[in-house]
Amino acid sequence: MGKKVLIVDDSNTMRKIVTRALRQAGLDFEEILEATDGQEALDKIRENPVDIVLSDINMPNMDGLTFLREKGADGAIKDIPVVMITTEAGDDVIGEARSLGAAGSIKKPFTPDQIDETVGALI
Amino acid sequence: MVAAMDRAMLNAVADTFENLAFMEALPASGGRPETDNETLSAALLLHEPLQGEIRIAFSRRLMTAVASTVFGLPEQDCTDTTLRDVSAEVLNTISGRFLSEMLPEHQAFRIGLPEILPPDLVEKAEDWREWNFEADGHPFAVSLLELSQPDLPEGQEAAGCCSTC
Repeated sequence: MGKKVLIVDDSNTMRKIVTRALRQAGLDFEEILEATDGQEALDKIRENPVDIVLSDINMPNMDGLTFLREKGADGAIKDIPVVMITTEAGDDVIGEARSLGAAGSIKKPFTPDQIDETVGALI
Repeated sequence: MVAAMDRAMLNAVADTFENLAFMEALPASGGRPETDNETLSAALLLHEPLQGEIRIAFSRRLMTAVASTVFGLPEQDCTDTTLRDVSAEVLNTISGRFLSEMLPEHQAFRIGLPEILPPDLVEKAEDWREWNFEADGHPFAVSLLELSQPDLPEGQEAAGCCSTC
């Protein structure tokens, strides 16, 4: 069965850029889902589990760190790997994301190679 | 100090346009784009450790070209909503990259969400630092208003966060 990915970002532009980068990296996903914030992401993966989530941190309504916290508390979805894609890549933020269960992080702007290196290793 | 800030902004802009839109963005001496109904401008607040604001102003034509590349759409199919979203994301990415270059390695920073400015706030203000660029033959400008110096741990210095140098 093909792999599924969920891209979480309040920016439609960034969701398209991530989709493009996945394609250029040669990562062949059967289905690419999108969500605009952490709450929508939780709703989508509870309904339709995916193989990996790529998420921004700084989002309205529910940010990426809260999404990680909520996902980690839900036994049905806690093991889905999450890679943070963000401009705010200081050690504090990335460290907190890791402590909440993030499997990796990528700093914007990124290249397809960077996506392949991080995401490819997790799927 | 000024040179370091210039270098950081040049790298941030060049990397962002290259990776987002496959465009080459270079410093330009021709001045900022003329402000008219076809100018798009976005702003983003800097919260920690620098406090201030970054703005970007570019022509609708440039953002249409960027959006066309990002979304894989013909330029005529790029809506106002799409252009605003692209503008905001370009500013968001440039800002993050700029701060990464300016601040000590591993220094955390916090920025706000980008917002599109109404046309009457697009004009350059005197106390802003401005950089002029050109991409795909279209001029654009990035401006920085720095309200405070970074409050960094003892022994650490920012790469060039000094608007008075």
